[in-house]
Amino acid sequence: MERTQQHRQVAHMRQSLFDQGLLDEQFVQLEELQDDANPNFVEEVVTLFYRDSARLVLNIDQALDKTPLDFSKLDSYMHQFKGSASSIGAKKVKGECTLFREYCKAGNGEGCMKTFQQLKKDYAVLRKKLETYFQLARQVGPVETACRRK
Amino acid sequence: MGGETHTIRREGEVPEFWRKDNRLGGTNKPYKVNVVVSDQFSTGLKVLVVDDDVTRLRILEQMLRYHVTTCSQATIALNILREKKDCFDIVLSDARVPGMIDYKLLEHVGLETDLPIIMMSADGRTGAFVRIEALKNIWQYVVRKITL
Repeated sequence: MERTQQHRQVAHMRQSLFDQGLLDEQFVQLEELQDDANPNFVEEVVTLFYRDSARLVLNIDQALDKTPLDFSKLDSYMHQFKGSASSIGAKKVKGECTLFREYCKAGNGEGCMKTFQQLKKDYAVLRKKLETYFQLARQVGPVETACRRK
Repeated sequence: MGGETHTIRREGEVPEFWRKDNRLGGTNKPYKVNVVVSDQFSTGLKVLVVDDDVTRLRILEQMLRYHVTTCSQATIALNILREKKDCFDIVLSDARVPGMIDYKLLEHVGLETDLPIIMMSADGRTGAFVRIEALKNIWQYVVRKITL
């Protein structure tokens, strides 16, 4: 009984990430790639993303500190970051990336900085939520949240 | 997707890839050709995937399920191809790979090998992210037109 309760908790937690607009379909695609040979594939990819993107975040922060702002460089960094974030299905973060790039094109430094502050917050929140989710999911054991469809 | 062969669903889309053709008087410029590929190919296909984004690289590796070699640097990719010329059937690459400027990798591979290359979303405006549904069938992935 307790097991089912926990399964429901995990499923609910997962669903809320979508409902809150934090994740999109890409995340589901990742879940579908998970198999017996790679049972923690999604967690592995998310971990990889956060580890790899840390340096991009740093680069952007440093670039935003310079005067005058090099918008083309900022845009280039963000292009890479967006690509990475998209590949794990980070919907909200991806949206902020797009906004940032628009500010870059408009040469709006203020807009870039504000957007990036928000982006970093959401990036951190997503990380925390996913860590919690993965941890719980591992404790509970395999849940049929996504199955490989033909 | 656990089967041993992959069926290509053409759905009106003709796969495109770059190929060097000696018959054109040895032109050095890779160009786009439309070809018809056989309907089935085994998972023995050997793919070299080149992408500087390690997250994407890991996803592609998992997706392709072929004999995959991954690589994040264009210069290394080129060395691999030079040393193990017959070990690969196809190269899948992101256009913006560090170590080379833009499409140089494409150019070099076109000059030195007969390998087909599929370039992944090189469009700087849309952002280079993996479209898993599209890549489920590698031959159906749309290659962006490249102007050299």
